[in-house]
Amino acid sequence: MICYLFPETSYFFFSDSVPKLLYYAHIPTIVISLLLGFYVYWKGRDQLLNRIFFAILLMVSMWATVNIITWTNIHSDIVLFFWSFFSLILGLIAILCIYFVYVFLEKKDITPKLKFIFFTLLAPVILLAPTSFNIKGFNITDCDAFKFEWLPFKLYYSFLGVVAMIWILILLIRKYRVSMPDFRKQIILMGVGIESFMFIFFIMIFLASYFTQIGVLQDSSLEMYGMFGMVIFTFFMTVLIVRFQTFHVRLFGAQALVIGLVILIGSKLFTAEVGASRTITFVTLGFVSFFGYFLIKSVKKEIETRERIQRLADELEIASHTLHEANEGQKNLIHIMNHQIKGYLAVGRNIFAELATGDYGQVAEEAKPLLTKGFDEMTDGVEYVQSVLRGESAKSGTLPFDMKPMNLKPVIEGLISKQKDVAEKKGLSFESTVADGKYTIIGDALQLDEAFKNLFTNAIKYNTPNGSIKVTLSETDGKILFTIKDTGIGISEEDQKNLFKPGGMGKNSIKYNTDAAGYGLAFVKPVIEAHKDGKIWYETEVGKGTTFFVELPVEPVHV
Amino acid sequence: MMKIIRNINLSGNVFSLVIISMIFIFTGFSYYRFMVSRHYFVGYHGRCDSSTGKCFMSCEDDACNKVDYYSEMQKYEPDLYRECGENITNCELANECLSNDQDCSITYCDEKTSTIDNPCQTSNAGAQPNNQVQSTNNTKI
Repeated sequence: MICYLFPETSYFFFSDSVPKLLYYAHIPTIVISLLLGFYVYWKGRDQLLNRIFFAILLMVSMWATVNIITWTNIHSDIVLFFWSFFSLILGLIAILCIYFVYVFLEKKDITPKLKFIFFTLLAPVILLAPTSFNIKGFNITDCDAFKFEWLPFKLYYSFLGVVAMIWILILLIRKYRVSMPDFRKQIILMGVGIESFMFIFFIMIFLASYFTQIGVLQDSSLEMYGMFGMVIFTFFMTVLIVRFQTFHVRLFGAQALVIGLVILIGSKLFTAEVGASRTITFVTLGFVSFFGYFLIKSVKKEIETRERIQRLADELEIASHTLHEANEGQKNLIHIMNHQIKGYLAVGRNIFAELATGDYGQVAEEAKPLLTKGFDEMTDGVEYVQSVLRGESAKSGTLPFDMKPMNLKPVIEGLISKQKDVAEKKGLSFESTVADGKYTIIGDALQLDEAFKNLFTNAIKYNTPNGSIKVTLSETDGKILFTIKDTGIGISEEDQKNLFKPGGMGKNSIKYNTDAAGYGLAFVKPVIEAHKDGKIWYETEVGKGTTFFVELPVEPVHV
Repeated sequence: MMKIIRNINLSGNVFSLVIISMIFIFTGFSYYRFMVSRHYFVGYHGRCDSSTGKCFMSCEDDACNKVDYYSEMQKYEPDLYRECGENITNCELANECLSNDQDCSITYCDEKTSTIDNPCQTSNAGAQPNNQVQSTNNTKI
């Protein structure tokens, strides 16, 4: 039967007898839903969340399409066939929304038990939708079926929407309480989006349908406002995609904005009256599409450049890390090698020493200088390797310290006594002054002895022939000051930059001591500074000499 | 196609498959009921003599210069289609309940049946039979 008071539709969807708002509210919603739904589905078909989201948007666009058909068509059989889908689609949307929020929050599928509950809630709708429990007939005067709908059934599937809203709200609140701040923001966006959508969509549709059924409203135009709930939902989902790459989809703000504008302006074509208004809308649409295309292109290019820079920075960091690891490996290897070499040299030195004693038979007189030379060379070799190992350990902070109360004075006096002979053998004059005072400190006697010995050795090795060395040790106002002054080559400004660094021997110093490892001062500085308030510094003048100063605070301890 | 079907995790998607199957069955059933057998009622405005004073009343224009007096008719669609075809305009049989109609009713206006949208006529020009609803009911739909 046909609705005899209404005109026939053109192209199944278009009729002049329906409110213009019908197309303006429905067509953008259908286009936005399908575009976003297919895009999200296409970008992540393997993701359950994407599939559910796609299903929701597909259902909403189906509802809007069915609604246009029922508004515009005048054949009772066609209208009723499509009308019977309303309850099914609304029931599915309600259940899919709960399912969607579950998967969004938990990042996994729901349990079979929960699926069974969903199925139980939905089954009555699917089973009863095509029967007289849903619709009994059709009014061809009003061209609708409101007065033939069974109210309890309508209440049931509308009630599913209310249940879904409450269920989702509880899920969101519970998850929000235990989530990290970043995910909390996503929960808020999801919550506002989906709750607004469900509230506007379900409430408007129910009220429009119910009031029309009881005769309060003449028609159900009110339900068209329900479609704006979908626009709000897609807006919040787009924000989630742009800001948090939800659904594993990349979309930037400019793209979303331009697409949204084109759809909204395009849909105005359905409401604008013919003539100037439609022309203006058409021209505006053209401009927005044209400039939007270039805007998207330029923003995309900028984003790609930024991402390329970020990628390069990441690669550089990885390369730097790999290099650092390789360096560390090399350092370890050298460290192990040095230890091994030290061991070989020490064994060799002992053999020379044993042979020199004559315990293994008389050594020819001609060979004795060779044995002495061999012993000395081996001793130098051991000291060389030891200095490298100590310098490296001090630099890396792995040098062990045994800090305990001690007196610095006997350490310095012992060194003066030994090094004086060495210096004088080299033809250097050696002068030392040890003032009375309190020299108790908390320190490592062994490491300090080695550190001060380095300063003495440097003063001797890098001195000029017939030069002099002056050593002082004094204590003033609770501070111990050690100085050692030589009349050597001095340290150039360039060499000073690497003075306390491992391998940092100066260019001039190599001329005087070709065996220098460059690890001496790299060892001294960390050792002095490892002691509480210990300081080391120097004064130098190229060609005139250098003075090293070491300051250590007195500790009131009993030794 | 067979490969796709084999790859579907039946145990994990049992509920989805059942629901999808039910939707297909629903669609088929709904199509058969409304499009093939046309197993539903049709409601429309029937003729009503305003002199009886029991008609529903509606304005045909915004200023309400022209008033339509009507009764509410309800017939089983196959009966109406047999009697009038697709369009009931100018079909006299649409205004009567015939003896061979499976289910038919004519509702006149009174306090119970009137609504804000469909009020009763204001003038009382004559008598109306006591039974406001005349019906033939041979088949339960």
